Amino acid sequence: MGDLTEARDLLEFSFESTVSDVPEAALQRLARRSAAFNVRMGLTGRLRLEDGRFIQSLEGRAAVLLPLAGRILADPRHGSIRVTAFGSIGARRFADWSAEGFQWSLAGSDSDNLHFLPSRPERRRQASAAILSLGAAARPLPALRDA
Amino acid sequence: MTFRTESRDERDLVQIVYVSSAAAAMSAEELEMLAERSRNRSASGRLTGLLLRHGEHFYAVIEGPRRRVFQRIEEIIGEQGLRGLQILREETIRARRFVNWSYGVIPVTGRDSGAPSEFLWRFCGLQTE
Repeated sequence: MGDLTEARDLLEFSFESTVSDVPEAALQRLARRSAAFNVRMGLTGRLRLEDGRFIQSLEGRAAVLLPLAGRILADPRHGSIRVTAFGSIGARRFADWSAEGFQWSLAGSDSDNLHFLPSRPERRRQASAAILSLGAAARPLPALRDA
Repeated sequence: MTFRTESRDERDLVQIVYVSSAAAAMSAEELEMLAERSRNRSASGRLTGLLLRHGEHFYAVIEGPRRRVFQRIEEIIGEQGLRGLQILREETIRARRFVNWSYGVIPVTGRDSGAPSEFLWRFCGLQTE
């Protein structure tokens, strides 16, 4: 932001998916890696986990976001994908990238989709803290490359 | 009767990834109609996937029952002609990847002209670097 030329090729890609067969540790690694990648690539948006569904909004330059969208949509860990927005936007709606909604209400955790969530309360707290700290780490918006 | 046909169709699913340059010959009104039809198609739920327009090009993933998908491809050719139509991949799939149909317009700025192709290449599991 603060980059007047970026608005011309700003893109939004928002989708929901069911992430299954992903162990908790792998999920956290995935979330941490994608947080780092998003920040490095000047992507903003939000990731929420809700009832075993990933709800993700990403926004950034088309040149960065399009290849990433292709990769996400091809990733076999995502299933039942609902693309809710894919296209040009005039301005960013998010100031940063964050992961949230990981309070993991385990009501209905007998669902197969939730099997990767930690079952013991203390592990749940640890995992929750780890993921929430991702959001905090993602706070500062990096200077955009070739701005 | 319809249901029986549908469930049989649901067991014979295909997914097609294609590019075309049909948008070059379309007016703003036609493009708006296309967007409108895309929204309606999403409501019907028979074909799922996505269609992106980048300038004069379309980039698409279309999936559903085999005969419905090929019927749609024939319609596209009927309406728009071949116009650079290239099928990048045609695959039998066990389950749909997408639960809805979406349409989007990608900004054209010149400096990212390769990005939409890269989107499809990555979607097909091919690296471009």
